[in-house]
Amino acid sequence: MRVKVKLLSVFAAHAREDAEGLTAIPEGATVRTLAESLSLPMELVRIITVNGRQVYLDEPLAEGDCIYLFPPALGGG
Amino acid sequence: MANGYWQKLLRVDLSTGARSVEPLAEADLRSFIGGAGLGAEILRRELPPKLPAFDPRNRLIFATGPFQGPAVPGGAKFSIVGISPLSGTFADTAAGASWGISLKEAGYDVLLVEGRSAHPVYIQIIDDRVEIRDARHLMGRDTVETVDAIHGDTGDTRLSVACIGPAGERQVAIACVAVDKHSFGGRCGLGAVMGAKNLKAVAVRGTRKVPVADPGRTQALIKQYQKAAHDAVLRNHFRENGTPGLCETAEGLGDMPIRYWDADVWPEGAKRLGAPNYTKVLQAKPLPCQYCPTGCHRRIRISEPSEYELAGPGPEYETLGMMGTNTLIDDPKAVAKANDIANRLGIDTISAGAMVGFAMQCWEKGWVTSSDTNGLELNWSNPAALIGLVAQIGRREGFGALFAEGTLGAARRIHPDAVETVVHNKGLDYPAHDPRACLSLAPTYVTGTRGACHFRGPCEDVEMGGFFLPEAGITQGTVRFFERANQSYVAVKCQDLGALTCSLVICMFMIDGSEFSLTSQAEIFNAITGWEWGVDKLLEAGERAFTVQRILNVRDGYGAATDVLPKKMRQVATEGFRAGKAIPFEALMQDYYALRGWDESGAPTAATLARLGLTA
Repeated sequence: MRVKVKLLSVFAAHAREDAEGLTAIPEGATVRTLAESLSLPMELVRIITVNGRQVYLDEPLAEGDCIYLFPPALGGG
Repeated sequence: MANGYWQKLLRVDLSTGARSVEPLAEADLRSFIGGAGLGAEILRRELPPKLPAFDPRNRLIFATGPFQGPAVPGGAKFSIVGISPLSGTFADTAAGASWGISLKEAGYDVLLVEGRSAHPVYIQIIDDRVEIRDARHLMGRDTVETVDAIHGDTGDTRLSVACIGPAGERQVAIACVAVDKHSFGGRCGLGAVMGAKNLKAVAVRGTRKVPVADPGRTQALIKQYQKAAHDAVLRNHFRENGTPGLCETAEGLGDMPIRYWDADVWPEGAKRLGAPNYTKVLQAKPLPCQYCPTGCHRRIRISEPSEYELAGPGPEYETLGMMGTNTLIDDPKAVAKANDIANRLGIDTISAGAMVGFAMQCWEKGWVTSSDTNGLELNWSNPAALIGLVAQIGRREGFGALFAEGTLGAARRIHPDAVETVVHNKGLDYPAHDPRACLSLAPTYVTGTRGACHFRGPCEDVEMGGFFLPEAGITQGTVRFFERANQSYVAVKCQDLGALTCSLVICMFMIDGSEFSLTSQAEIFNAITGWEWGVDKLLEAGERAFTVQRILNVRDGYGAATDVLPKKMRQVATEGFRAGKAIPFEALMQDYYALRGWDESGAPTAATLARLGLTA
């Protein structure tokens, strides 16, 4: 299946999109397996939204989901 | 003598020229630690309620804590405390560079300045030699020129200099205190209080090392945590990107101010302003304070276009938010230029950005026209408006002079309907974090003892995943976006942490960003003082400091009636992450007052005061 993955700031270099801007993932994938497959630094993957809803790493993904992976907000000043 | 302290307060009366050294009781240090906690208690003991900020009796308290002796990571900080011209009540602001360490090396924990000099002066402290020197030749000089001039006058470039620029001299209510050209006690206008006292600068250095309880253990822990923090900021990219690395996350989660808080999304703007684009466009490098393993400040260089040419400290996230997305300006060079002007004139870049965004809103509504601004077009996205108005505010001239008493003061003069559009608490403009995104910020801002502040309670970073406080039960998942549960708990604990941090005094970015945990800080605290405190006792000291500050707020007229959200924070987003979400404010405040142990008027109850060992 394919999903839309938005990787912000320091995560952006890990993007792996096809020509249509989508990312192919296996059936049964979760946010964790997606993040691992993109080689993201897992200790920094803390704030995740799927279709605008906050979720955690073990959230299962479905065809067409829109996933945002935000680097954590450090040093809020 | 208590270890980690000299137990000495240096008092300088600028009205009489008198200087004296007074003992600091160990019992007070054990209650309030130092910095903003001790400073608040001194204000409470020495000042009557509702004292105008520019009254010569107002105190300016430059206070260190136990972390300014040995080279504690992030310990190059100090607090400045006094009554703010913006709020008319307690204020503290913290700065870095080398000043706090230098005061400690000179043999003092606290410098207290009172009175008002008949003409401009600066104070020079070198160990026991305390001089009040003529500063008439420094008037009108900016915060960079002032440091150079004092170094030139004295021939002593080792002096650490905290000074004001032209804005402070002219008592602009958002005037800051600039330290060694790159660190700023920015918020609350205490630079204007320096100006009202005719105090242009305080220059200090010393040759002493304060004794600590266990020197070997102290040094071993410092070495261990310096390395651990440095490794952490390399791993999490904080050293590489500094606070500008936050922009895209903050915008994506609806936390960043856009169009003076009226718009909800602007991902392109945040991407252009933030790192990594910031780092590339501004050729940014880390600019650390003394003993800092993190280096969050940025040293930048702009060579073109010529009107933006500069080399010096670059804008932080807050400034990118308030001067950038808030005004719909997405050019980091333009924001950097406005930031540099604000730094040199000596004004708080957060409030300055808020003022420009507010002015642009007034322009759009037709409340301000070119006849008011002498032709300066205050339309959104206009870098010339940002740069021009920041300069006017800092110089207290032209249309900018209207802002000399703060955004609220300007609103009252501009239009009757403008007042309710000001986004503030206690007269302090909101910083670049939106409580509609991070709900715990709502009680944090409205009860903030110095006004709306994310840094005296950094709970936005809890919500946005960057920092947790496991020692107080705050971990990932303690709060979830837009859900009431535990939000006020996080607010309370983060505020207590904020007050503690400003009492120790240590940079907030050690715990928030550099993984220097509260447990680790307690280890160093105990090695220095020998007091063997647990984390609970440290947090209780933070709560005590916060409560003393609240007592000052209450006696100055603040309470439940002023613990309210500005109107714009009731606006619900129509797009983006927080679309359709409203702050459950009354419920949050009900939770908050119960957790704090405050009565319906917003005052700490007798039982709360007794628990903390305080009297009303």
